[in-house]
Amino acid sequence: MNNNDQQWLEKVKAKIRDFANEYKAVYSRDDRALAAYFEIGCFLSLIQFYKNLGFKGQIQNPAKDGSFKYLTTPNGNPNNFSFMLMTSEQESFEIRQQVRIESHIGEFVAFTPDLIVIPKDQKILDKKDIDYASGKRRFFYITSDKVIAAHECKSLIPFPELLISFLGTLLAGHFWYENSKIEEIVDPTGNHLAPALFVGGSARALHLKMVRGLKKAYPINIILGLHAGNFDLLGDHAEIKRIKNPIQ
Amino acid sequence: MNEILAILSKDLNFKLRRALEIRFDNLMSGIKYRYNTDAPLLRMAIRKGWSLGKIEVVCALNAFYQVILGPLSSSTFADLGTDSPLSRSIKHGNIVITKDNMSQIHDCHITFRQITSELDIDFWSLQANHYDDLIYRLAKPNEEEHE
Repeated sequence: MNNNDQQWLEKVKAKIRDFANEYKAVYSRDDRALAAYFEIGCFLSLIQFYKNLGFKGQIQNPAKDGSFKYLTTPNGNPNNFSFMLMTSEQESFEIRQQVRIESHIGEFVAFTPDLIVIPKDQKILDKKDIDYASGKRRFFYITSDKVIAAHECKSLIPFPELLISFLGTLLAGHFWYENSKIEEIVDPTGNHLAPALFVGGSARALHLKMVRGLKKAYPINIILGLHAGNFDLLGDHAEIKRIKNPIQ
Repeated sequence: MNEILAILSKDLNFKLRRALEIRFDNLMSGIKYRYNTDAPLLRMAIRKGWSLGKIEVVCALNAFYQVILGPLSSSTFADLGTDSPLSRSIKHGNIVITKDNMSQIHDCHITFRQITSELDIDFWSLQANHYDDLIYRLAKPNEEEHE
């Protein structure tokens, strides 16, 4: 390393040391917290998408102290947690977190996307199964025919297997996908974000081509670069796919 | 551990320190491989002033941004007004997120970006997810090859 580089390195160290002293309490979180912040970022971005389309958001079922009680696992009873009610003159629906979907594709096929959009007042079902918590806890779910859109949030760098696996969410989580005319549902003026995979990292050039290929073939969005603040889903460069309410 | 990473990761838990090290090591082993095989784009980056020592710093900052600061600051970009969950606090298990938290994280993110900008480090090199992308950004900082 020459003298100039050495000086530059000393400058970097001094600046980073100052930065760490000032902000270490802010950024020194555990891995669970980092994942939570990312997921909440996606949730807020989805709310903003609907607000920008003219929907009003209302917090439902807040905690006693008024805070938004975020459901973090499918083990919890969704009725005990907060969610967003979005309304306009045309329609009303809910944005919920961590609600399990029971799929139409086969018996016992169930999974939990990070976010789902479902019609207003849709009842969350429950049952007991001896193979779930030895039958001691209720298994909460909603059926896939009631799902407008399910979204996944991954605070990861995109890679092909991650991108491909989102097709499982589309196929298993949306009854409408195999039972509707997709060309009538996908609509650039539609009120809903098509099922979306939110990804933290940015893609390599080759993976970007893969993303374009998948988006062309399926009614989905793969939204990349969220760690860099790429959260404006209706921005000029957003290139997102919108859908009409497919279960109306 | 790289000195920059050691400063930044001092108060992080073992799992995250390990994640930072793994990402940094992966980037650096790729960079060294390209150096040993005399890769043209890396030669171009070096001619533009990015010595291996300086690239090592960029790899450390990239790891910190990708593993810690990017995910954390993801929550601070929405602008929602009064009827959003953020108008109150959000309880995510035992994690409580308030507007003040968000504001501190936002400041942290802005300051980090200012520092990297003052050091002439292109923000997109912190977004690079592979050592070849990082080399590309350093060699051709003004070209729009990557998202």
